[in-house]
Amino acid sequence: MTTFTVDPTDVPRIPAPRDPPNERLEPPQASVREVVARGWLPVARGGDTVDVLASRELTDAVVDQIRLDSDARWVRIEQVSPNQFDERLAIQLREELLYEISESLADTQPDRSAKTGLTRWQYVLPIAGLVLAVLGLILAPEFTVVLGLTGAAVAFSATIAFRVFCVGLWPLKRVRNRLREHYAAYRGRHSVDYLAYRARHADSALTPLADADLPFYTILVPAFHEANVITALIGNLERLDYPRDRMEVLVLLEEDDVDTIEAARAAEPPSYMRILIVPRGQPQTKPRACNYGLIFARGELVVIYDAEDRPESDQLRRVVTDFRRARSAADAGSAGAPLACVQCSLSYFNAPYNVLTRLFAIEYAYLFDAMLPGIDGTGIPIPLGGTSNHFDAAMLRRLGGWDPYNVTEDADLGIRAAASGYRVGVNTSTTWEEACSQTGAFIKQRTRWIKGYMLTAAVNFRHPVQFGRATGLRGMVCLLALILGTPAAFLVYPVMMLFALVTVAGEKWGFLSLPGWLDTVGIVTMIAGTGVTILLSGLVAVPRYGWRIAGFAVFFPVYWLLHSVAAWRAAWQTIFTPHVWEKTPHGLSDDFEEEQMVGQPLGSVIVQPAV
Amino acid sequence: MMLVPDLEHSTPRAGVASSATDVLASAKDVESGWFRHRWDGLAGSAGGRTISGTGTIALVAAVVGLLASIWASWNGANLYYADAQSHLTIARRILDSETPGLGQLGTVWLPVPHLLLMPFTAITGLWHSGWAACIIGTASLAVSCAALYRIAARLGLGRTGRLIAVVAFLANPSLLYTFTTALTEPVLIAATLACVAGLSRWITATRTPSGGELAVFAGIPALVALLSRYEGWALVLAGAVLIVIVELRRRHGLLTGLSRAACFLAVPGLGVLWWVAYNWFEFGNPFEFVSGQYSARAQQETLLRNGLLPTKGDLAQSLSTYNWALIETAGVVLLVGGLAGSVVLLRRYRLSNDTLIVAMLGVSYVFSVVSLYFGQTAINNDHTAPATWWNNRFALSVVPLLALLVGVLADGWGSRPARTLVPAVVVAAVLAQNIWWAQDLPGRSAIIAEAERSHRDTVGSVQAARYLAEHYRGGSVLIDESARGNAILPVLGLPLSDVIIRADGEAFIEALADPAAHADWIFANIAGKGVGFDSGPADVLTAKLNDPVVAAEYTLVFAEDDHAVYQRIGTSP
Repeated sequence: MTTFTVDPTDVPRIPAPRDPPNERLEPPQASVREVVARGWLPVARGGDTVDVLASRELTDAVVDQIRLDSDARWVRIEQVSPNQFDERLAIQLREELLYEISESLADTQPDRSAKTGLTRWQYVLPIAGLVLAVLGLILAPEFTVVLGLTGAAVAFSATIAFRVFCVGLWPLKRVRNRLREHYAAYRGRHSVDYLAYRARHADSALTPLADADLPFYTILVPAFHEANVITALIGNLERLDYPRDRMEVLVLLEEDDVDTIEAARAAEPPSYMRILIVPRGQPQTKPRACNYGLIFARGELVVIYDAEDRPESDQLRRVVTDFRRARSAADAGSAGAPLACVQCSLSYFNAPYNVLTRLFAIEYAYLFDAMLPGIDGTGIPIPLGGTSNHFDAAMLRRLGGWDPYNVTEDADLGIRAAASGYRVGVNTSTTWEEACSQTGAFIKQRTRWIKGYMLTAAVNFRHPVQFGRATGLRGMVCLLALILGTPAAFLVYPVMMLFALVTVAGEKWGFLSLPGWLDTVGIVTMIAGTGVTILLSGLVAVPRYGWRIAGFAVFFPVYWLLHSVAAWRAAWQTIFTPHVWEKTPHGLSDDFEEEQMVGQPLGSVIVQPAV
Repeated sequence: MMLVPDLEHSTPRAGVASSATDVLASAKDVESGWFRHRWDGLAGSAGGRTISGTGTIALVAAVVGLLASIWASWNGANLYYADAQSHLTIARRILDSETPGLGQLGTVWLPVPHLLLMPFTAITGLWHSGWAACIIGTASLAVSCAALYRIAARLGLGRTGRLIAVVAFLANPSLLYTFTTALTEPVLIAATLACVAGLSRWITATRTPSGGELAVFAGIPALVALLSRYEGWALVLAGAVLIVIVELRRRHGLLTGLSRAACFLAVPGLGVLWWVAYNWFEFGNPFEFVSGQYSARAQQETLLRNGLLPTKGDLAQSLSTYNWALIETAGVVLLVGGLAGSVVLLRRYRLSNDTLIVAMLGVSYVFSVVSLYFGQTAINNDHTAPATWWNNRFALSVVPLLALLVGVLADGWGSRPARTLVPAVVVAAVLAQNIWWAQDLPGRSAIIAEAERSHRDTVGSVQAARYLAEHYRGGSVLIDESARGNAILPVLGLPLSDVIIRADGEAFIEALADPAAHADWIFANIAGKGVGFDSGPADVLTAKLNDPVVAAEYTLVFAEDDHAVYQRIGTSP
């Protein structure tokens, strides 16, 4: 039997089997996931009897097979509930589970795992670049400055241009779709048989689904040191409009996070909500916890929410519709890639809390309300956001789940999905989140995100040709302009400012003479690039948050400096501590909601900004 | 003993919810019309980020500012002040001159008003008519009134108090006139009020806003004030001290206080750094604005040499000079009302943080008196020697303080009959004061008197400029714009790339050495040496035209009073 030793003083007790088996069994031939799916597990062997734990009725054929496999005369079946089965399985197959959630991807798809970090040439290249730059500044300063400024201007312009292009697609697509609808309606009205036309074009996927037709949904909620938000989590998920017998919520808590576990148990979660204790192990990351949840997930669809998330009540139903529509299209012979995931919009309920949260909210409005909807359907891979990614569970498992060694497992998974021939869709249903409201925590959070982008770029650039073949030109554009371009732009941003200062001072005091065109290009790039981003971000944020918040877009140049600090930290960490996960604390702006309630008549408190 | 505000009378702040009343009031709002909705909004709660009624006040103030602008531009009064024309010219020159660029900001004045004017002066019509300044002035008036209203609301004043504060501020022809010109006071007053409004929000909020919000809502206006006029520097320092005091009173400790003050100071601090760097880069001296050829110090040294700084070292004279300036710009009613309001303020709030917020608006009074005492500035009116009109507009920056105190007076006066009577008396007195002013504005308003005097003094130069504008047929015009009466470039209205002036530096020196080789036209003050203490330096071109060789190249085509226009011989008539 797998031994399970815990220190009772600092970890919760996990129920042990009532009748400890007296002989250790070999690990099952089936994978852990298959064991969960089949619902039975041999747990002990005593003489000619094998003890089997089962979460469902076993057929005679299955019993015969067990008897045959274990060479036993008797099969003693202990019938337990699915939850009890999972708990026992967690103890019985702890080692297998640990392997599955931490090492499986790195073993089965080593080229797609960030476990090994950067390759040798990826270490050497930036260092060589830095050395060359320093040498250049010493030996040929003017040439080096010209080259550097030109390169920075090109990189900066390319990143901005890509983002503007994506945002520009969004209104164009809306207009195109609207025109198509009008045209189709016009054709339909003028066709001989209007009713036949309507019947032909009726979108069965848009028809509201009966509760009984809805797929089983698993909601994964990883939480770590978040005892303060557990109660809120239950309340937020209670608001979901989805039949309770068609959904389960798996709250994923780390084994050593005693406070959160106690808080979760004390909150007395409803029956559809289960607490899963993720066994202690390394790397102790969110994707590892999610992999654990995925093993026990029974849903056809799986979604991740953070503990403080407030998804719109109809979000699950809307996503089901998206998957149905994709399936209908596939059934009708559409050649498009299968839909593996739907990313919903992320917005921030505490946007007005302070300047940082305002900027955070504008940035995400730009990303989720314009940029991703613009990219959607173009074939350009979509890097997923941290939460509200709804997966087809089977496809997710085929992808290998999340990479526990990648600190932005979401973005990585989006790119991996594209590289594996799947598609990520976008749904405008919103999940309200808490924007990080403290500068220190924000920089740590962004350090992790930017590091994750660097690692994702590094992983996919191990075999760039292979990646290019798999994803095509659009994939390469995404990898270069978004995944690599984002950290690069933030790294370059202060350098460009410094360069600009050096250039102005150099030209003023005569130790530098740069071509006039470079001055013009530099100024235009900075002013136009920054101005366009500010303008677009502000415009996009107005419908979501109103002008009072959208106007703060003018402070993006300062906000980007915080990103730059994070980017340089991330670059350092990517080299020296690529797998360290700097946790973002939640509940930092709890007093915001209290403030919202002041002076409001009872029952009229609006926590979420009006959309 | 700390007196508690009369909550029944005043509008509740955050945390003092009167939910039932609010709900009923809200229901009524829906039923009533737009006007009623706005009117009710003026009594709204001041606890959150938004204060209902702010937009309404800003809109009304903008309409008033627009009407004042129409009046001033209709009779040309918005360009009476020579300094106003100079400000317009500087703003224009950033984009339109022989050497365009930020270098044209110069160091005579602080840069923000010019930067704000710049996009509007780039349009020739707005520059020529002075409407560029009217736009900025109207916007400044809207911001000022909205901020004053918000400060009053943050102090817990009810609708009556808030409105009377705004009315007392707006009902002042001297102030309204100044807000139609390109003088720097409108921007300073708007920025000061916005800064204090931001600080008042930070001080009175239920949840203390973050340092970032302090930097944005108080620091940025402080930056604008700091780079508009030197009163802004005092405001910034006082704001930092206020923050530390408030944090100490909150028992947050000195370190927290200092870090919050640092957040507030960060933005104006960057502004100072930029200004010093600008001076360094453009003029080779980081403190050119302090000690340069055109700095205030250089000007005061000239005045001192001529014995025209009687306030220097004389506190009584400084106070007298400034107080008369205040009386003759703000009016007796506002002054008396303000003094009475200060008694009510101290009775109501003692030395609480609310009182300190109000005191912030008095910083410019202290700054101005101290400046007079140290001889850093000069003001002249009919109670100074010499008795003339100069710089009395500096007193305008105290008007917001007096207006707010009048609002406090109207809001917080004891018993119920007095609560009705006092506002009525205040309104009647303000009305009476305006009627009295209207009977003889130039004789009773120091600011308008100075404008009239400036207008009279420049009749000749304006006519000469109009002549030149009318008869200009191309070629460059040479003007020593710093000479007396020569700040008429907006009236002239020619593209500044066709005009060579002192601010062009080398180009002007070259043209001065050989005018005929560079300019087809010369515009000059031919009176010789300037005589008055405020009349500016003598025109260097007049001395040049006394050279027979140069004079032989030009012909006098127009002369009026002291100003003349010369055309180079051989150019088309």
